[in-house]
Amino acid sequence: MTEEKNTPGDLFFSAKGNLDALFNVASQVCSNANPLSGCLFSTEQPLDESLTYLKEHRISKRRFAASTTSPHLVTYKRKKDSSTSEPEEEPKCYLWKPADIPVVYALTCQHRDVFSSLSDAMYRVLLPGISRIHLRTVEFLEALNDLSSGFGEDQLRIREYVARSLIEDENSHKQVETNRQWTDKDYPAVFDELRQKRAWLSTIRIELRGSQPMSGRIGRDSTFVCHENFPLFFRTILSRIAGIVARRRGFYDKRDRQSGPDRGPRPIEITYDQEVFADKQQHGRLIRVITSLPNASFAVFHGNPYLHGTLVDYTDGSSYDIWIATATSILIVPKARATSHSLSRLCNHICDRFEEGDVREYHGQ
Amino acid sequence: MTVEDIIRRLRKDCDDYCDTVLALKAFAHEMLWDDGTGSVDCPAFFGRSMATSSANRISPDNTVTPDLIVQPKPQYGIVAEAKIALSGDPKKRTRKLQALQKYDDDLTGWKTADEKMKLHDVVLLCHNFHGTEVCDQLRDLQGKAEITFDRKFAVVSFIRGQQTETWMSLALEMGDLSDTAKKEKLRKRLQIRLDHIAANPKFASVELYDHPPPLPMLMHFIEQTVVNDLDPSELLRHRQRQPVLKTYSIDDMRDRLATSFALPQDKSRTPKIPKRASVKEALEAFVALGWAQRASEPKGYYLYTVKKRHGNLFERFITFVAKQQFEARQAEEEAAKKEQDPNAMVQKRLFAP
Repeated sequence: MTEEKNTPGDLFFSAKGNLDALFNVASQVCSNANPLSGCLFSTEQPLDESLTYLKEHRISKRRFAASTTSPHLVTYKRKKDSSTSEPEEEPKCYLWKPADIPVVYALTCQHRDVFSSLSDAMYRVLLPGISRIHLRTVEFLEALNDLSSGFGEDQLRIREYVARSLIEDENSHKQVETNRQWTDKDYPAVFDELRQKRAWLSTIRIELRGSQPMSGRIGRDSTFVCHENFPLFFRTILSRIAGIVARRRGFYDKRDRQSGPDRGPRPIEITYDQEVFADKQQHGRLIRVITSLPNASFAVFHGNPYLHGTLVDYTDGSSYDIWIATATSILIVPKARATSHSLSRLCNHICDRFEEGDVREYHGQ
Repeated sequence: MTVEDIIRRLRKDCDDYCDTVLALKAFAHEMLWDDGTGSVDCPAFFGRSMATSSANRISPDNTVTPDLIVQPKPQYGIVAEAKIALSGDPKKRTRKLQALQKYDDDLTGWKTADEKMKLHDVVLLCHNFHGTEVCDQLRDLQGKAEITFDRKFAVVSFIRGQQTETWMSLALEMGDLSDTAKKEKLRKRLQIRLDHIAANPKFASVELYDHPPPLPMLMHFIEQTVVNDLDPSELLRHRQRQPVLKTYSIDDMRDRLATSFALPQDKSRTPKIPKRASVKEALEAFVALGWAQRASEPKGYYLYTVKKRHGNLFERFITFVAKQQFEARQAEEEAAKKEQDPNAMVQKRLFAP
């Protein structure tokens, strides 16, 4: 009797040898019923070194296993003495890194929650060598503009998106609201709406119609889900996102004093079109937002009329001085140590929970 | 005085200290600024050990540590001293002002080939609130020939101001500077945006000057320094919620603080900022707080526990130090009362050996 690979997972995780084989099984498996999930993260280290390090270290008494050839099958092993009656699903994914950009792709057919336990564990071990880069709304638009030039605007549709925006009601106890829209619109219309509402994206689900249908979802944190036509999704959307991730990593990289020329930091700022900080209550709101950043502590030296505080990120020992000295910008001055992962995490937290602004090089204008 | 009063005083002390550092940075920022070309790449030191000559009127053949040395040109420098508030006692104030004359000397220790400077000015930086009072007293002392300067001497006041932007204002209150263009700018009152000062890559990291920082601030700097110091394996243990122990001697911690929060300079001229006694006091405070312990071996070392801490640590340090000071004050008052208690005195006399 021949053994059949009778589940999509069995088929997916049986791909061996090379990326073509993986894409072949991915296209067979990928469907609305069996979406493929994953994420992108950035690292300058060779993937082999990262995997060796991963195998040598444990998180919560669980260890990692990884195959030796790319795409590498990484498994987060079950605890040996697990007493659960049902066998726990072992989180698994494929990892591979292209030769030309410092980005690693992670891909699985398991549920998002199972995958996130694996990806979170990998981050905890591999930090600060890897960076999770977050996308801004303008970068989503950049990727879709690029994509539509190959297929035409009318073929590229937005089917769902989650966006946040400020609550204008002064009596509200919440400052930011989250809205999920199920729709079917062309993407310029959606981005116009976002601009008018001063909203910013958390996730977006796109659909490409025509002779090569494709659909999938991209998250702000560079996570993705593909529901249809993974090879096209990868070639069109994911590779563009990877380019943006690599570029943003370069932007955030080497800004601390240890890396800068003459041991000077390279500050960045988050700027807004409107005078957000003309209302001094916004200082208090920003303090609350920054204080809510997980695994970090924020010491406020001065809160009003200007803000000066120091953030220490316990995930990798990065630290920053944060200033509000103008009505339209937040200044972030990296201190002795500041990794690209930590800086991206901080900027995203502010853009996602306070208000999305333009993150750029500080020029003192 | 209640604990809340002490908390308010500590917050003010920390604010004053930060303002003074900002003022020194603002002054350095301006002195190293060319309106045509922008920031000039010239030396600036926030504290530098310099040797006085035998002709020094106040401190001959000795070492002095001015708060700021700026060298905008190869043969021109400025020595600046910051005083956010001079003493309320007129005699003490007079002595502090007269002590500025120690910088009116052929000092050795400039960042030049022969460590000498052909021409330098002496500047007193003081808070705008005290500017008039300080200038009146200086004029009085100069009138009585109780203070003289052979070199150009100026008083520059500073104050933080705010409209839609926050800036540091510098103003020439009295005296003279060799750079007439800078003098004129200061005479008209100069405003420098706070973010320009904070982001100046040359001295963005400077948070200490040659005056002991308030204890809560130094505790905060130590916590930062220790976390920055974790290596990758320690960071991994930390992320796995395992406490990490770091060992430091007082001198070790002092050197790390100087590296992190003061400007690097040549070893022979690096002043002891912060002072060893201040660092020891801060480490002992961490022992009292339960975040560190004294090592049994080797002596003089401390084991600092790095854990995930939550909330505004700076406020925690302020509250802790305030409570410690309040309890110490109460203990002193109790002891003083017992000394004065007639019954206690009788008991003491009756039962004295």
